[in-house]
Amino acid sequence: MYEARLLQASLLKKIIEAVRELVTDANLDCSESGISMQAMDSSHVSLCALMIRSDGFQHYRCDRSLSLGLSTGSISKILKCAGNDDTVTLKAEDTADALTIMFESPKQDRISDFELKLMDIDSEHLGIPKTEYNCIIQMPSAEFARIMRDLQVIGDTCTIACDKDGVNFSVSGDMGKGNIMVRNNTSVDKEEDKVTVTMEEPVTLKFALRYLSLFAKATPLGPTVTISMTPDNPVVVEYPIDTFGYVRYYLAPKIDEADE
Amino acid sequence: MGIHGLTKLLSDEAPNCMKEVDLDSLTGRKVAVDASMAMYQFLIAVRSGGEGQSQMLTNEAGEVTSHIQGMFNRTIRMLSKGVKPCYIFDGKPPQLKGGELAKRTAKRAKAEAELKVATEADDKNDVDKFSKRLVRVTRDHNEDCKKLLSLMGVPVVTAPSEAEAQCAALAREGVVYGTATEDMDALTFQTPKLLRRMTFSGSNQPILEVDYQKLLQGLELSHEKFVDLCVLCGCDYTGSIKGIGPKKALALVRQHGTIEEIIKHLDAKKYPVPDDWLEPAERAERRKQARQEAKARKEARAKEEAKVKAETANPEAVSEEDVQQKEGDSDSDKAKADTPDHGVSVAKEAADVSAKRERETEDAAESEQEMDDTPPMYRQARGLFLKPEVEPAGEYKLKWTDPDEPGLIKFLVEEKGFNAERVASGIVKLKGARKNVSQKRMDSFFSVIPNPNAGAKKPAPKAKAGAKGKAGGKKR
Repeated sequence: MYEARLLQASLLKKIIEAVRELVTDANLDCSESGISMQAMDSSHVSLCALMIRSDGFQHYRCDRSLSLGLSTGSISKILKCAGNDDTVTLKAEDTADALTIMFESPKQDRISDFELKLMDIDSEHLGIPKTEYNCIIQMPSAEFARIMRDLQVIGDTCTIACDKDGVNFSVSGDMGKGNIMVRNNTSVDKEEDKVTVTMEEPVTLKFALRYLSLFAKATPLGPTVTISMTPDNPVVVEYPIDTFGYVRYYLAPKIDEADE
Repeated sequence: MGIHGLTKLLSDEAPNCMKEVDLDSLTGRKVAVDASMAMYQFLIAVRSGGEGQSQMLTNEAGEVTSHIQGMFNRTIRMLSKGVKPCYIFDGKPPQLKGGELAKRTAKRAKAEAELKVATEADDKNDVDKFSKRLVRVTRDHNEDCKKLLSLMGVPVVTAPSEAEAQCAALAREGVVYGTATEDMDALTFQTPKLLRRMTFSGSNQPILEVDYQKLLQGLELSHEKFVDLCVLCGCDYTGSIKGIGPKKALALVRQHGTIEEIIKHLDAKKYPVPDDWLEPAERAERRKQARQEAKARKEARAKEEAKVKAETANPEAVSEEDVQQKEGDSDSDKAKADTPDHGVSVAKEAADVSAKRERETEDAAESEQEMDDTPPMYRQARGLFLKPEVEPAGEYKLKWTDPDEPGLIKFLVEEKGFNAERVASGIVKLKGARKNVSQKRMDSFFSVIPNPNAGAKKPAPKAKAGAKGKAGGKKR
């Protein structure tokens, strides 16, 4: 028996929307400690890791670890049926071939439940080593989303260069070049508007903008985003889920043959 | 081509080893492409002439350009998907392939004759069919493609012998991800991954990926046994035992392990083992036997002849006897004893002479055959699969570089008469594709591990159905 009750259905909706376009099918791994998910896009260029710890749920019961294979498109459609203030409960029998999703309105006067068929997804699981990152940038998530949107107009490859003064996002394409510099800025009123760069050594890496802008779909999850880079390694773009989880995206860099 | 009936056998017996994968999933992968296979496909498929499509593409000088066109476009499409192809060309065909090649030449000759008939009869379909059968990759085609590819900045490797074997060697050493060919041989050469339908045509048809390890698991065979299975099914290098198809071959290999054992246990009458599959000693034995049988037959024939002769000779003997009997009874016994012998000995002499003549010719043949100590063909074929003639992968520096634009224009437009605009747009795409090639894959940084939650998978479908019913009941 598996049962997880989350106060805000909207939060689950945001989480699913954050991964839906990147990953079409994924296994939700439910265990005692919480719900986690790891999946790659179809090109195996990026990886999305999700964690919602059990303490984030109002009620959480997991008798036996379960792996629920879901189509992210389908669950997103079902979640659209939830009101913004509804609570959501995920239920599954230990041997279930379907996941039951139940929505309850705040006044308990409307209860809807949906059953979503599960799939058997054969996916590769990657072991992600603990890495010390040379540069860690924390910035407002909306700002990051905007930069990605703006740069995509110019080209498809973004160079992220980080040094002690700030971060430089640059792109070049057929029609021209673009460059957006974000400076270290800690003297703002609101904590979440801060831009902080924690750096040991400057790092410059190139990435496909297409994926970075897909990552920005997680912006509604919270006001800040953390970008961690280390040379010749995937970048990590992390959006915290409140205090009890995260959505992390990893993206493999572009490395020119000559640089190898 | 390839291993007879292996595809079907695999889809029946080891379905897990085959999976259809999205074109995208190969992004950032290096792939060894069997160039001969690709060129052959182009020569067959890239044609003009409307309905029947019986004309290969040619330029003004009448040279065939189908292969160049095809190679140029497919390579660009691959690169745009972020796949890095490396083309492997065939070297010298192995000696064992002589038989197969001769068969192909014969087929071609037949097709040529049929084409003539069809052309005279003006049957478009047949003309098309037979002209396709006549297609052959020549040295010039090879040279054209090598030149084109190196101008495009794509690495080219000429294998010492079979291209599939070299592809497999590169893949085994991890230089490339897998082998792109339609030829199932590549699996027998142990390519970790075989990629079929790597055409990257517009249709977005998924690629069929065959995983070698899963194949062995599915068939429950070791590599050596798998090679024996392939040889039994029928490969390019030797004939096979009549009456044994892929299914039977698999059962036999599972039961007995090696071809040697199989032959020992095989019902020789039902499944005659070809001569060249026997051990030299056995082969000599079989030939000797055959000779003896032939000899016995001849002797029997000779005896019969002798009998006839003897019968014709006998009347004389009888008359002699009579005379002798008349002459004296004392002599008659002796004569009686003598004459039949005499008759036989005459016949024997005749038989002896003919037999001697036969033996002389046989002796010549025998000495020739006794020299024939070549190991059985299946063992030679097996040897070829297990230890193919390949260069170690470290010998090759595979480099994908920027295309040589003026070189390409010179080669394609000036030498081969391609449309300048199309070549130019191809080059633009090629340059654009170069950027995609630099994209790395996630699994080149993080290694694949077994899913820690894999044990949490649901049990058998039957149980699931029951559980579902229960769950539904509870709710309502």
